[in-house]
Amino acid sequence: MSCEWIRRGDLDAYSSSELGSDEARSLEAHLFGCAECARELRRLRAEQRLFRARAEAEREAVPSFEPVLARIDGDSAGSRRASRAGRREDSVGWTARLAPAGVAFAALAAAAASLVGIARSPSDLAPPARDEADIEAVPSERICLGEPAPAEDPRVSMPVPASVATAPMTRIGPDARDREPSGDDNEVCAPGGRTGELCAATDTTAPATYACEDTVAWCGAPL
Amino acid sequence: MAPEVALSAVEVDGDLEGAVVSARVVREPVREARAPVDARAVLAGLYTAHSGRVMRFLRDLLGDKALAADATQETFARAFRRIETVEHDERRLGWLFGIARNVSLEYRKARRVARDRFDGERALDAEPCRARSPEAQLLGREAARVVARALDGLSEERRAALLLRLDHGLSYEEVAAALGWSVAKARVEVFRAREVLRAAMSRYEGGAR
Repeated sequence: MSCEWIRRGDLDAYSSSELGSDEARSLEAHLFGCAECARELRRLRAEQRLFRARAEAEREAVPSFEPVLARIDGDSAGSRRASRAGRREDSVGWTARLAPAGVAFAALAAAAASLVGIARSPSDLAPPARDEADIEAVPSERICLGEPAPAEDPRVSMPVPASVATAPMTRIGPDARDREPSGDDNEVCAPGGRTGELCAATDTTAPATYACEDTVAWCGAPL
Repeated sequence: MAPEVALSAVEVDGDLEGAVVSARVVREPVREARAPVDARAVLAGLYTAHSGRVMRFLRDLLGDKALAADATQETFARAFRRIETVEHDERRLGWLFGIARNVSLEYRKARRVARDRFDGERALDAEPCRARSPEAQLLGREAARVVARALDGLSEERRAALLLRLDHGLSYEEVAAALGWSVAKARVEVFRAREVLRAAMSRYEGGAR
């Protein structure tokens, strides 16, 4: 790339019809005597034809405008809902916010009492009435106590380490070990399959000829 | 003739139960009373003219047609919010592509797609071929395959620059504005991307012969 016209990007601008008329005439005069610029112009034209052919083949109908309008209207309605929700969140009572702290304090006190051995009856371990009210105020999804175990079942009433009790159940068996990836997992298609699909619409003996012509159509001349 | 200013509010300082201490009229420039209607009409025109190109651009950036369709809607919804900031029609295409590119970056981040990953072949296979003749169909298919291979070897930035320049015909100034670059950087990035494209074209021609 030694020619000044190429370095300045004038050939690129000329191929895109962005060059002024005087400069375009000068460049056209230059092209007659400069093989390098003529070759570069053929390359630029080939690139343009390549993208034009692709755009022509992928030409799509204009998608519906309605989803955009719905999104615009939804955005404005959503922002109103968000501001209302923000105001509601600000108005949450302080007792509800302090409820988790009350629960934690009660649990800590019960654990300390059992360790020291000062707990004489179950009623001693019960949290104060104020804390019970706070526990009720806590949303149920924040405290995952699970199903209460039946007291008469000795197997369940035995102490179980927390790590074991909360460990997720894992199915171990031939159905899990031997599972092969299904066809849905792999969306890879063989290249031959695509070619077959492409050729199915036309004469299967013709594509090679078409491909050769297409190459000429893109390039105009060998690069 | 519309007034240049409109009375929007009267601010009162002092105790309202007693005497009014001071009052001043707040005047603001008129904000086009019928802006919502006009903005929607302008947006509809832009959508009719450019939604196909914007969607193709997003498909090429994201490598996923369904995602690109959603990103196209998001692009035009965002354009609606700022449509009054761009007055000239000829500037709106580059502006739209700039919004589209930002949307694509956000979608990539949200989907945890690697920044430079592009499965052009998959996107190509999902694309129906709408050319009229069998020759044009095959030509378009092969062209799309060559372009997809070239895009596959490009970074997201160079891919965007190449597409805007070659596929959508933006000037270097428009490419630079859409991508937030200097014109010099836009020229360099397109030049580098062109090298990769030409290599892909040469490989295809070598295989076709």
